[in-house]
Amino acid sequence: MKTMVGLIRAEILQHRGSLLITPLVIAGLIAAFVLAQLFFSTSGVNIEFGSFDVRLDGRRIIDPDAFESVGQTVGAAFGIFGVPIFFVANVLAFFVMLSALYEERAERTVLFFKSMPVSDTQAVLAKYVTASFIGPFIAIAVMMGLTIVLSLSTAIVFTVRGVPQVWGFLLELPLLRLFTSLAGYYSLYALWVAPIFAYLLMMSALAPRSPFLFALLPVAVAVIAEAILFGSDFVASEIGNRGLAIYLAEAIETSRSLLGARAETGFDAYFMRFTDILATLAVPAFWIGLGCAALFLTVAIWSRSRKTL
Amino acid sequence: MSDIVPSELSGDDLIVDAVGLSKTYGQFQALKPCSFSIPPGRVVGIFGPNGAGKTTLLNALLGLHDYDGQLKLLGRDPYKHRAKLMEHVSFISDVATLPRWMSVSDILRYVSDVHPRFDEAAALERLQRHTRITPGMKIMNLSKGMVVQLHLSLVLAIDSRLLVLDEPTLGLDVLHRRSLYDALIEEFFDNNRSIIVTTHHIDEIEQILTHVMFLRDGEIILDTAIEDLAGRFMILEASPANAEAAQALGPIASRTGIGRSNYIYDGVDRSALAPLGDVRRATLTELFIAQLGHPAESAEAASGATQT
Repeated sequence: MKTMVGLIRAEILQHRGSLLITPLVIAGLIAAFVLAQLFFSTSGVNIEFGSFDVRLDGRRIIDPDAFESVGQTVGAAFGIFGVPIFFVANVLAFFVMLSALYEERAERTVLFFKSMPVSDTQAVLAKYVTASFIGPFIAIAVMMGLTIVLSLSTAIVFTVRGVPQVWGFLLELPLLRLFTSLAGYYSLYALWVAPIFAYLLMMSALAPRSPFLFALLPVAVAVIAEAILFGSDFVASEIGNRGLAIYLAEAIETSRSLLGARAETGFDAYFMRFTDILATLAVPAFWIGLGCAALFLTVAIWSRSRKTL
Repeated sequence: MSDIVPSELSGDDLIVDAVGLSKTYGQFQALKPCSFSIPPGRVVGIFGPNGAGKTTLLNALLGLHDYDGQLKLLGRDPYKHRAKLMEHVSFISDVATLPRWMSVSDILRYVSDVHPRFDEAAALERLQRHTRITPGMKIMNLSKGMVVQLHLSLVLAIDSRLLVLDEPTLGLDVLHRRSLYDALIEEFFDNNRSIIVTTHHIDEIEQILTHVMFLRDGEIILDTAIEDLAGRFMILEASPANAEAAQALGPIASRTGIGRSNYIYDGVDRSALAPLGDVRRATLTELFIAQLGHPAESAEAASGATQT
């Protein structure tokens, strides 16, 4: 366990720009933007994201019909500010995965790492877990931190402006629920997208040079060949459905329809349920994807054990 | 090929035990079948020209690639048990660059996390005592000599049985090279441990070796104790008048100089050579050139030594 912790710590250190600093910088920019509105705009803060349209103008807080309390409104609204952080974290995880096993050869550090009592399996899994889970969880933690900072700032500014009983909404902030839901949803997403990330890691291990091209060319060829030969788009749609969380959303929607017999609305619809996990586990494509991911990781481990430089 | 294993040691006591070890890349045989053993308490120098198979041999020992034949490192197959064996084996390679994105304290912590036999305090103490390296420094900002010193401090703080050094002094000045070898003997070597080292600076390492191996074209052509070299290989400096007699004694290499010629002999008694000129023990460098040098190259490289 100590070895795995050490390996993951080293991975975070190596990719701290992607995994740590970038989410913090984006969070800082968002915080600066919102706080500037809070402090200097006479019309308050306007948050629009999809169906959300929340305005905090110091005199009134418009509560969308979907929400039951000011705290829920503010919490969910500020939580949504974290979406860009989450999106960027995933894009960066893509590139971290793609470079992980290639760069250690290119930088010639692989022999140093192989001089340690660390198996190739441990080394590859540490890289996979870091890019696939730890990095996005860091992004989720940053999102939560951003939500707390913005909520506290809002309460302070509104108090100064004389809005009564502002601090009460902080108690209603669904932070823990927001955090566990995000972590839970992301964990399911990471498992759905596992074959894609494991494929990238495998190509990073196999690529003699330019892992980006080495990874993308076979996929591009497969997509084009499939379209020409069979007139279908299985490969492309499989990647899209997994990468864009469409499979995950479909599984959850189906289970909720079956269980609730109606489309969920309101605040609760945004939070994870145990049945969401069961719904995912019931989809064969989920397990097929995990099987492919295991195969790709095995090839990555095998390749690392045979290659030094 | 000589066996450098004392007869009282069993196979499990050996640091390295190779029988018919070879390595082939496609059609190219990088290492021809060879057998040798290294017990504890040895400092073995492995020498050969570029492409002779030194790194292939070391990589096999370190479990970095597969091989044919039998090979045991501390009683285990290094390719199958590399990770476990690395608890007892350390290596420094010139191409094993330390991760530039780490600081000194990062790398100390990393090794401490993953290596159960690493003493972080000892490494830190050695850095403070022998170098100007501080924990806050970034590895990317260290000079080549400082990186080697850092790597050496890491390795010397590991309680290992075997230390493998593959061209560890490339790019270092003579002072750093000397201090590295001094540290190996003073801070690592004892009768329970062995060191394997390859380098092109043969003359600088000769004094610390107990045994030597020469490789040529993937084949071990010499595997012997240093102390046996002294009585076995002789240099004769003879005048042209004695050239015919010197050639008659069957030198393994010769070089014609101005006024005198050098002849190197394997196993010829000193008393047979003495009447023909000045006789002295061959240095390892002279022996290396005699055994492994190519005519065109050795004429320049020998510089007072012998030439094949």
